[in-house]
Amino acid sequence: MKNKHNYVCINCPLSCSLELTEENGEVFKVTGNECKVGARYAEEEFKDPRRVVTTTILVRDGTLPVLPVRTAEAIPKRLVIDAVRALAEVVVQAPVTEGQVIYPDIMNTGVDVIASRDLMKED
Amino acid sequence: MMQQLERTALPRSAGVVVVGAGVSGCSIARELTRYTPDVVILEKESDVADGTTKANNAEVHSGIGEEYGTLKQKLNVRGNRLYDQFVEGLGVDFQRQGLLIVITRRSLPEKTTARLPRPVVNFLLKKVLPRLIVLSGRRKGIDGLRVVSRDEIFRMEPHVTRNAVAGVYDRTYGMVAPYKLTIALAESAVINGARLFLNTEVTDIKVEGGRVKAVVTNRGEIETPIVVNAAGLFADDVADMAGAGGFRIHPRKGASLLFDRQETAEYVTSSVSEFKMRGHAKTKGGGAMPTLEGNLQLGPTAIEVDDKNDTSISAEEIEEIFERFYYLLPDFPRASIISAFSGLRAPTEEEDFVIGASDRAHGFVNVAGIQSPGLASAPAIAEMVMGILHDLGVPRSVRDDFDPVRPAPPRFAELDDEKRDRLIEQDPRYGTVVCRCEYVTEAEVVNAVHGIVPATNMDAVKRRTRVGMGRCQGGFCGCRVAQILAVELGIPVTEITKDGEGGWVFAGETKSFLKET
Amino acid sequence: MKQTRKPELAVIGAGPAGLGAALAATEAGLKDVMLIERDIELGGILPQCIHDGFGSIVFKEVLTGPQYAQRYIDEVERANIDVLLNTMVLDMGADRRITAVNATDGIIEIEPRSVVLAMGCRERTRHQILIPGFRPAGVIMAGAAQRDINIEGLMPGRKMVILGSGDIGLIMARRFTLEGAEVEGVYEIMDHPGGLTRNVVQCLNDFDIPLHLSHGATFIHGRKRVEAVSVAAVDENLKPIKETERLVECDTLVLSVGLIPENELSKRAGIALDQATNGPFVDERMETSIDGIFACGNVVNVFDLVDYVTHSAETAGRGAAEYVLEGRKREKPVKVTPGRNVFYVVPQYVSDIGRDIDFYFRVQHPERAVRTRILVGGEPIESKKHRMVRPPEMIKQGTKPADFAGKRAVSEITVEVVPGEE
Repeated sequence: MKNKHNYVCINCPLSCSLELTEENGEVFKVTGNECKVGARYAEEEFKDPRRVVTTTILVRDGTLPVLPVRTAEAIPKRLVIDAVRALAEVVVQAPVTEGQVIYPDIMNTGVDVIASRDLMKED
Repeated sequence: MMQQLERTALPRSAGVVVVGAGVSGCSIARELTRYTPDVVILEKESDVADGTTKANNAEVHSGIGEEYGTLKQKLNVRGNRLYDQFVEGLGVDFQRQGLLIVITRRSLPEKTTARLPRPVVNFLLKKVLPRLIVLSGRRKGIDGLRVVSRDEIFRMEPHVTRNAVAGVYDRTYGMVAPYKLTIALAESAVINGARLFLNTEVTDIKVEGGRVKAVVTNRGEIETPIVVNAAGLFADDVADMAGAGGFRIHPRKGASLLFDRQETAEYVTSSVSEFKMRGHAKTKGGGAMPTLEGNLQLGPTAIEVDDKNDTSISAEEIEEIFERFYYLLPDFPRASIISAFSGLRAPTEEEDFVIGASDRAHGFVNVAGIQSPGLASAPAIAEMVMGILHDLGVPRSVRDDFDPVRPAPPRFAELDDEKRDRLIEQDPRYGTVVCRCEYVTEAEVVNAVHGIVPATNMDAVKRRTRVGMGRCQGGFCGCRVAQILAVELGIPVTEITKDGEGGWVFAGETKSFLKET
Repeated sequence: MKQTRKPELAVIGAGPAGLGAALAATEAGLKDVMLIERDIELGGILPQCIHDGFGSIVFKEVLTGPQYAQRYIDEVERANIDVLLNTMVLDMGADRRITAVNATDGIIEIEPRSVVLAMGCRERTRHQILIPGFRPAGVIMAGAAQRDINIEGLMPGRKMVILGSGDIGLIMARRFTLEGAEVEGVYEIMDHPGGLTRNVVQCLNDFDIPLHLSHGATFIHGRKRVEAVSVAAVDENLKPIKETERLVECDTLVLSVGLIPENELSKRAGIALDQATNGPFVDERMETSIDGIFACGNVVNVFDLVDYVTHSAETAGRGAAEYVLEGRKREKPVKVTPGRNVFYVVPQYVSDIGRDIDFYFRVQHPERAVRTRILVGGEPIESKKHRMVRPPEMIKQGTKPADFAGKRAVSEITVEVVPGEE
């Protein structure tokens, strides 16, 4: 049974409406794209959509109550909600330096969650 | 000087209880404390001036717009005359900036102008109408009016429409910030011994043998022989509690628009309004007013509503304001709007003040139906009510220990650099500007929270300091103010409200929702 | 009497624009640069922009806002720049004199030899777009909500309706969702989204948040706290169609309805402002109508890429340094005119064609397969192809002195969009 999936390409202002046809996970074709990047994008979004996750973490003794963090790389899209839930339980102690690993290997993706900035200790 | 916190218990008895801390109630309370400190003020909202008063347009009319012979006309004229004396010592700014009443073709009813030949209409508009207005003023006891020619109109106010035919200049008209005045009056009363209780709603009045005995509230009972009913929109309900009613308040909404100070500060010098002869004038038609802060204010509208809590503004009202004033001031900078607000007037069906001692409940004094010109009439209302209260037994001699001075809190925005420096030396928090648009400092916010009539929510702070009244409308400073309030009140910031119970600002701390499931 | 400070350059605002300008001025030879910031730390708006998408041009990496800011903050700390935090500029005169205030020094008088304005912008408010209704707690601008969550750690509400599909509104839709709040929908008055497609996909589609185009808010319900918002479809004149009005229950209305460059100080100093951008008129060195006062970043016009903010800041910083070290008499400037399908161009004037010039502009409406061109006296000297141009995506295009070769009398420069890619 052939299935169709729709995506909007994000790679350039054209924002092509893409239609990907697949059966049992095998991609047959992509239509609607004006260039190869679009076709690739549709396939990626279908097979293995990934997202960079950015959120904040609670901080103890910092100049601010929360610290912005990011996944060092994109992680599978389906794990994003669980990832932020896991991170909601974390409290980090100030001071923190940018790039510091706050939560290694989030959701077993092999990707670390790192600090986006320095955060000083409150005096 | 005492602070009135909700946690303070109500006294068991009081000499006089004033119900309602709007401008009427607070004027009367302050006046009372000249003669006796035994005054209790009860206010059901979380701050003084939180009902009709806070949406008032700040105009101290001369009285020219009021129907001759009415009580409101008499008290308006008298009140206007007393105003400088009234605000003395309160640390409140009052300016007689004048009102230019502009006469245009629209000034006479369409039916009249349609039927008469053009030269006659012009003669009426140019020669007759202005003189009639001045004469009408004199009859009412107002002598600050004079006729102005068309040329003079444009010299005084170059932005007025070229459709202007003639005008009348009213030089005793003034402006005062209604909530600042009310706060000052309340604080002056408290300085002189009155006790103010916020968040305290009157639920019943006990009358025995035709005499007032006690006031029942949501927080307890106060025995008292005298009750002053200045409860604004709810004055009819309170009067009914004592069996001293007989009038109905029917709310009339008024909406106004405010414009950016930088764009409109010199747009008009005096207030400007268009004269319209109306058979049953329920409103003076509003005008374009430069507030004392320099923002241009347009309005108000006048719409009858059923709901005593309906302070919403509709799209139609906004359009109406623009359309009305577009005619009078064709080039005003419409796009520089920064705020819209509305409030409810509290008129009776007879459209006049109801001020008097009840003959059914001895000791109960109604001060009801105080619609416009309530602000201008305040000194005269207080004077008249004092007369009634003296007759009811309040001492007639002024106390030796009455202190007429209520110092205004320092306003960083208005001081010169030298004074600012000195303030910062005393309290470094004057050096941290919290509201960028109005230049309000952290110290002023803290002072407001700990004031004689303390501010316990965001709107109360705003009224005292102007935080959030500028072009960004609190976008920059809102969170900061909430945090200062939380720290100074010793409560979590999630309990801070905009304007009393139910108006929470923050739903919780981050992560709290994620942890819930 | 307190001493007046006399730096070579005073930069007002330490967001990416101010940081960039202060550093560029230092690199170009200024030794006494002062950076004035009203907040408790450097970075401007970036510390609260915790999402990624910053720096792909400047650093060839995709960074978060705080990461981008950290790069400049580290450099400023290494350079010998005089940083004043928690300091608010109260006034600026046409003579460049500045009055500022903070809690430790009190009133500060500054007489800089040059100034760079980098105050950024503020958000358009509910009343400016005239939404009828009550005035309860719970009507908040998207940027303010962003600050609440990402800096103060506070949630402004539980169930949000977002008005406006500009990037801030879209970003916040995702942010609210990732903090466990509910976003009922995003309502956009135009018939196309206001922000990047990337954000529509990754902030709305990813979370099944509906985007309602051609819709506006018609009434805010709730006396003390927002209880609901009435929304309606709008016609081609953007007027609500009464029959389509419906009630949406929520406790927060989030407004993402535009940014306004914050030019109060510019006005006080008497700097000429362009109505099209709401920012100062500037020339190719980002110098305003007052000699020695430069401007960069969002205070000039709202950029969408922080990388371009940085570029404009470097131009301004270098311009200020040149002004102080070499002095300059400005030649009679040539006006830059927006041509076909161009809404506005910055700079609005060119004083010196003997240097590289960067033009930043926005188109008025979307167009496919076009060329953007820079013309002198009606003749194109620079041309670039685009598959698609859209208003939310600012275009940067530069000229070099060689491009003006052979044009002796330059009296008019135009930037335009023409159809056809060849």
